[in-house]
Amino acid sequence: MKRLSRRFVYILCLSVVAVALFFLLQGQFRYVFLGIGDGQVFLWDIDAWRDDILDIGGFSLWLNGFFVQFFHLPLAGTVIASVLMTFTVAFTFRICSFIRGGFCMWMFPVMLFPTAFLCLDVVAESYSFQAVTDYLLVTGILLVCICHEEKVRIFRNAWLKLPAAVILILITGPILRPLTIPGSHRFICAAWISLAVCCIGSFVLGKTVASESSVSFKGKVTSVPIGVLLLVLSSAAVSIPFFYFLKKYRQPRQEQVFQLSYYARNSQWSYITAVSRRMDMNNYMLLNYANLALGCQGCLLEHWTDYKQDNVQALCIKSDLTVGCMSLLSMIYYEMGNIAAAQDMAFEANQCQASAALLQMLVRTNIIFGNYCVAEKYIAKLEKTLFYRDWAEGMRKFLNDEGVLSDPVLSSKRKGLPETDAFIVRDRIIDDLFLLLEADPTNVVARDYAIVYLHLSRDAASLLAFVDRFYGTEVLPALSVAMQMGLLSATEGDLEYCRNHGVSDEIINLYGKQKKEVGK
Amino acid sequence: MKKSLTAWTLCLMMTVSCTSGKVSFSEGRQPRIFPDYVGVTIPANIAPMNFSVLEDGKFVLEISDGQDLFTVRSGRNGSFDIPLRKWRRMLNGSIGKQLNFTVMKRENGSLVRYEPFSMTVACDSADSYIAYRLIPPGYVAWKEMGIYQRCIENFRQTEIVTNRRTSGGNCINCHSFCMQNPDRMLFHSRAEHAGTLVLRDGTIEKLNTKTPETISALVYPCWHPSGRFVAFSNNDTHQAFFLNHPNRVEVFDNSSDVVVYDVERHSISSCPQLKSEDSFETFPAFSPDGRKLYFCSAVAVDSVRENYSKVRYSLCSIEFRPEDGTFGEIVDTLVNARISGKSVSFPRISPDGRFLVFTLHDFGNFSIWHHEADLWCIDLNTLRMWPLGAANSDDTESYHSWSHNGRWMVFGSRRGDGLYTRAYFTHIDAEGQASKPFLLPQKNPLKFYEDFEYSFNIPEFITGRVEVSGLEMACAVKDMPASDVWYEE
Repeated sequence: MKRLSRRFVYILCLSVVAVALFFLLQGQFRYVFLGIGDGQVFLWDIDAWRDDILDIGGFSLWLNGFFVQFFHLPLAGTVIASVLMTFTVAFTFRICSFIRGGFCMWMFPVMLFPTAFLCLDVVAESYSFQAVTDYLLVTGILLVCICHEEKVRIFRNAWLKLPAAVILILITGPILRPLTIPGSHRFICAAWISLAVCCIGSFVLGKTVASESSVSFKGKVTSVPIGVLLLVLSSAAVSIPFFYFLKKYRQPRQEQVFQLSYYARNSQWSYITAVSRRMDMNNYMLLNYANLALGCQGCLLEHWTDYKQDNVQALCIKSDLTVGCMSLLSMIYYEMGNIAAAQDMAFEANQCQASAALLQMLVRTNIIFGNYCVAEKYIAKLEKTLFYRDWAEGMRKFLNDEGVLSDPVLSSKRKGLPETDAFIVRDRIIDDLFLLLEADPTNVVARDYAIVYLHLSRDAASLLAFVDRFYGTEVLPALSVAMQMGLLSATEGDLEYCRNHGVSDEIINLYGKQKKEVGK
Repeated sequence: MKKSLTAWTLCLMMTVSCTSGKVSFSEGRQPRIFPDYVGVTIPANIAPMNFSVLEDGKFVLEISDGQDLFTVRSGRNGSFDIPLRKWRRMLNGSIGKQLNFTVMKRENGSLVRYEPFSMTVACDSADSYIAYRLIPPGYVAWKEMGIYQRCIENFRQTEIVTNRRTSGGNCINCHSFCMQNPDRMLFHSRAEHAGTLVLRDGTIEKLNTKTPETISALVYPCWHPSGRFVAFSNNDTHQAFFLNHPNRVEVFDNSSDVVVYDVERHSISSCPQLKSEDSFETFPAFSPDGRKLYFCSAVAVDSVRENYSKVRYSLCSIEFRPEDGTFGEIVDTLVNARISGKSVSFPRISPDGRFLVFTLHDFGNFSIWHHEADLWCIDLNTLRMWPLGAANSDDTESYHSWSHNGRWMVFGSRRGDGLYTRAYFTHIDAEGQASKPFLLPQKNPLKFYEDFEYSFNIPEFITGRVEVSGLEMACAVKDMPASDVWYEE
């Protein structure tokens, strides 16, 4: 009965941990998990699995990929993460209990330390679930090795025990993985160190504490108040540093980028607009998403001033060769019709970290260019995934010119390709936008980006060239007030030119007054 | 002859009947297979030429040389995994002859026979290894790349050096071997741990090859046959991506020169003809006797980015005196870009010194991104030139390398899908004519090439395995201090 009640308390504690983790992750970090899920490609391909699993540490990579593919679904990521992290707590607790020689519930919160650090690594540092999977596998093997050796034949032989455990750990999840991957791994290291400390502490307590205190060797608390006090103290010992580190190291900007990129991947442009109005938009990536959303909804010209932006990087950030930045640029270029630049960015980002969204972009861009063999290669890859199979199969019908021409989006993008040998000019997107607009004057996204670029860059020469080239055409039937003012400034008051290019007398007068005031 | 053929056919039919069921009517056509190995010429030491039938069903393959035969059943996706031992035995007995491949489809308990196809086993064997760099076909960001060696007699690939072992991030490129000798090679490491690594008979040396007198560190290499010198280009290279062009990217040099590095003195030298301000010199290559240095040269233009399509490289040569490392005075022009209207890259001379194969394309020097690039050959005795027609395709053919006996050439081609470069082999006969090339064999080629997202960059024949381990190479890249080279006026 007592045994049953202790087990009940243990399960209750684990359930509390699982629920608390779920509410924390779902409430604060759901987009991080959606981002992690969309940041990989897991192939359902026996040959690929065999190759992965046979690598050292490959099984852990494979298993992590398997779990993470489900993070693509809303809720699934946080549920799976909560459950698996709870398992890490259970495994730690079981190992320490075995070392100590019995259950000891007041120690339970201390066993949360490794999991707390793993959680911090996932949501505040690496944005990868790999460390949790590694930990789960290694502790799982340790558990089998030391706690259930009588059930596993190989571990009954004392000589085979250690090499078998080492081989299993190497195959499944190497503890040394952090050393092989560049970047900061302080929380992963902290998790392993805290596991070691927990084990040593359990061993020491098991040997010394029993006879001296009110806590028995078997972990029974002989005095309820002391037991409760110990439980509260150990809970506080875990939660205070956890929330301190979480507050200190979490990156709200990055989490916002995760959120906006999730909406962008799913073309939920109105969500981006709604959310970004509530955000502090002092970051180029966030502004890029916000402007992209406006552009895709056809209201960039009306609303770009809703955000504080004073640099062309707010429209199109300068690539820092990170996957996040290149993925974002790929989307921007695609929407403005610069298919070559979109393809290039998607390709480069995909080399650094393959993802389904990038493969989808590569499929679309290659189809637009008519590179059907290359597109088919990426389609075949997506067909091996669980969640993009249908999409990929659906794209097969576009692997010929007739198919492309039958699709309104792909055909319009193809028609909008400029007939030129010109190179992409990454530092000055306005040059590319000129060519895109010449090729397709109905390209509203390109037009809006060009006009906002001219406002933000305050580039008089480009403004003059733009007005010269496009005023009176479908691209620029009329000038906005700001453009009229800009044109007056760019031409240094050449009224005849300005009148011929759509500047009204009212604006000319206003400009004159402003100039006088500035002169005073 | 006729009798023996009939007897053989009967024998074949009986064997098939006994082993695999009744053979019924013929399909009357050859099966659609990948890779296209129909009618190719192969060396006697090549790995099994596994292929897949691109049709639904289960298949049986019979391979025969007119005397012996063996059968192989298809696996998943109609792929044949030919047993290595049986294949070797058959190849060794078929040198100079043809191998016949008969594919039969299992249908309702009987076998439907396709028209057979053949491969010719050449009398000349190929070098047993090739070395190549595996790199994604992009040029801004990369994660993993490395130089690997592959035994062409089986499917074993091992690393020579990879950036996974050198803490990642750095670019490893331009591997080159002295006369196909695996004990004498070099390659560059760029970005992190920059330097040129030279391997000579087990000893590794790291060099810092940038000098104040040269425009860049050393770039495209070619060893002198003696192993004492290496010719290099110095290039101020840039790249730009097209908005809409079949060639995604154009890589161009704003300036370039050719120099020769003396391995023993750690010095580099050049001459005005190879270091002219009025022209861009690049892609050096020594003749097998070591007395001539071939290179490509283009008239310099202002703002190459604007005028990239006007830059066309001629094929030139100059005398080289290995005794003292000096150059002749006169530059000969073998292929004049002004006359041909085309551009030459990668001159490579056959080991017997008779043929020079180069890549010919419309403009510029980075032919791998030029879909029109083809392989051409010059007879150096008569200066007659011709395209290697059978080896070329509608897509890119670019970097190529001769085997030690001068009868095989391995080259990179994008004919598969237009983007990913694959290694192809072609036999070159005594008259300099190429045979239909075949794709580097793989255990399951259809699956391999469908899934593989790396290009086979700079395929080079080598006569054996590079014995220095990848770990040693990586340690040298990372930890070895680089010795400076100096420019000798």
